[in-house]
Amino acid sequence: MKRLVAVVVAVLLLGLGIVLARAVMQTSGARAFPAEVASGAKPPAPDFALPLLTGDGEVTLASLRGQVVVVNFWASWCDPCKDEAPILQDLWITEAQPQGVAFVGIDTQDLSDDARAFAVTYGLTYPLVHDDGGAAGRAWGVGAFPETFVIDPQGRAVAWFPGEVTADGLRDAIATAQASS
Amino acid sequence: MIRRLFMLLAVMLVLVPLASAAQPQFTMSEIESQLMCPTCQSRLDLSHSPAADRIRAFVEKKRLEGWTAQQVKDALVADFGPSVLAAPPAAGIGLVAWLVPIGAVLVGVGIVIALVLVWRRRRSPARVTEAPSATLGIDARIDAELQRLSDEDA
Repeated sequence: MKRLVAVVVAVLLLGLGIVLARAVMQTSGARAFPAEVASGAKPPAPDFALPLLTGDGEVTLASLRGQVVVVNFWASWCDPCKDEAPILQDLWITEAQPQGVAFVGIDTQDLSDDARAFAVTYGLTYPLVHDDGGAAGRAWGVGAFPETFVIDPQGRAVAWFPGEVTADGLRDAIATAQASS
Repeated sequence: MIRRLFMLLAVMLVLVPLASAAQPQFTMSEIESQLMCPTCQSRLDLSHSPAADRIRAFVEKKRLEGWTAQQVKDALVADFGPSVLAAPPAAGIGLVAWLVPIGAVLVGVGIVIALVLVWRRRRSPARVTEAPSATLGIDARIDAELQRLSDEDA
């Protein structure tokens, strides 16, 4: 009888421990990646494989290795994302694409139908993917919208923009990533 | 006449499923309490963030189209992940959240039963051990008294 009670209590403690550990990991690890980028540590960017928002196929970060990559997290309900979208689109068309810089817009914490409508409204032509289930947003520690990261050709994150980017700020970060070795 | 009745029947057979399909399968208040706002970590019915408003609009649209609550939840989980559900799924790591409270209640009941049994066991032996000693005391005194009386007679 005593042994049975001990086993049940041990199982319960284990279960509570798992729940607690998971909660602590989610809280403490949530913003770890942006903090590392902000510190200048150039951490390796977490890979993702996400489906295109429109059409078939997917985009992986690994497939863009060797290029500077601008990764922009956004959502259709986010007001600053509406202000930022024309800046990104303009920079993509006039400077980034001709220089071989890749742009990926990751729609996260959003309804995919709303996101498609957003892309049409703002005429976004760079690759847009949908973060099914929000796993990529969590892995990158995205806590507010929009957030933008610049990845160097070695796959390291060299810049992080919490909130709306400016064209000059993003231009400088791209130049830093291109010079990074 | 019979032809008209058949035509009417045919029309009804088409209309009835269409009408029932478009009937809302759930109420907004029911489902809102079962969903979470993904950006503010509170229940959807308690949140007025932009994301929550968009989810609410989506749910209302699908409700009026005749979707079931489960279909709506499945669509939201596909976009937002399982954290959009207020109750964790009874599978994987979510199963722990279901089993731990049930286990805690069972252990609690077990502890109460065990304490009652121990308490009863402690009380019962006390009576058994007291009785013989009391009886023996009386017997001894009776014997002693009888012995004293017989000695006096002698």
